[in-house]
Amino acid sequence: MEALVDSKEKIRKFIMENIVVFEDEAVFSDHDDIFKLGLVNSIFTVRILNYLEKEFQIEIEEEDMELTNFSSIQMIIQFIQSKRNGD
Amino acid sequence: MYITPGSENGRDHAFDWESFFEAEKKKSSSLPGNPEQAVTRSRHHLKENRFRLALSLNKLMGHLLKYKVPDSPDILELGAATGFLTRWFIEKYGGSGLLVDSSRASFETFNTLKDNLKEKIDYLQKDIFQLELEERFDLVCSFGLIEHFKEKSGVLEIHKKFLAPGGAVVILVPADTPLSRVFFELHPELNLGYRELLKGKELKQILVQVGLRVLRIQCSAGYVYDFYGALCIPN
Repeated sequence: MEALVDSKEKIRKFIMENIVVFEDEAVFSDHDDIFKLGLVNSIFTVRILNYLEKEFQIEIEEEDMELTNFSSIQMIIQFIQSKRNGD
Repeated sequence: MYITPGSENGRDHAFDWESFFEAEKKKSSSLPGNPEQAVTRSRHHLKENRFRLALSLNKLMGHLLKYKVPDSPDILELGAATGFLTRWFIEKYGGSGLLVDSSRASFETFNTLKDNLKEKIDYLQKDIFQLELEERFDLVCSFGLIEHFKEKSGVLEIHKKFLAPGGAVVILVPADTPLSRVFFELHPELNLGYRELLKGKELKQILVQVGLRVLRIQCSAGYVYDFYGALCIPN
């Protein structure tokens, strides 16, 4: 399985590519809620679904489309792990 | 997990179910606790959230467009506000869009959006009833428009008028469900002028009456109010 740190870096890079604030304003930890911080726009939620499916080869089903699954790097990592574990 | 108000007094078996059902028999409709706080909490729980809306739209469209997925469509969105629906379409399927809305405030808000999809979108600040275009579109859509009109044939004819051959109409409206009724009851500030909540059958009937063939109607799930999406083609 891909190293956790690599996955976190990939996700952080993807978020940074899609932020709607200036880069120096986008200071956030792995646990920060990127939606509440206003770092991304609403279309990002659609974009990240496609990204995660392609990059991490998981299938995101309707029941997975809960905002909390994608709200922080840590939550996204947990979500990917749960999908890979077949939870 | 969310613990419902009133749960803090203890475990399930400690609750006095006998008294509860006795009270139920008396058909008491009074709200225990502080009704004002309950309303405030409910307003908070049922608060619009554009991220959640995007996910809910994703689910709905997954069903709605199952059999007719547009490829790089030219899109016209009527009463577009900031063109949320068009941006969703372009993100998923590519293409380009034209937004039409008479509101200057909406136009200005659109201009402040930080979204690279805007490069593929033009905005016309104009009354849709005065709209004259030579161009025709693969998709003509609206989100939260037709329910503001008592007489809907006029606004629906505009959807049809600008369709390219083989094109489709996508209309999204708030649904008449208990959840939606509660939502709009709790948020009267969002009731902009006249607004109807429609049942699925009513929506279908209205669309059929103006000569649209309804391919599918789908209800949303997981948002703070329910909304219908209808996919139609001209007869």
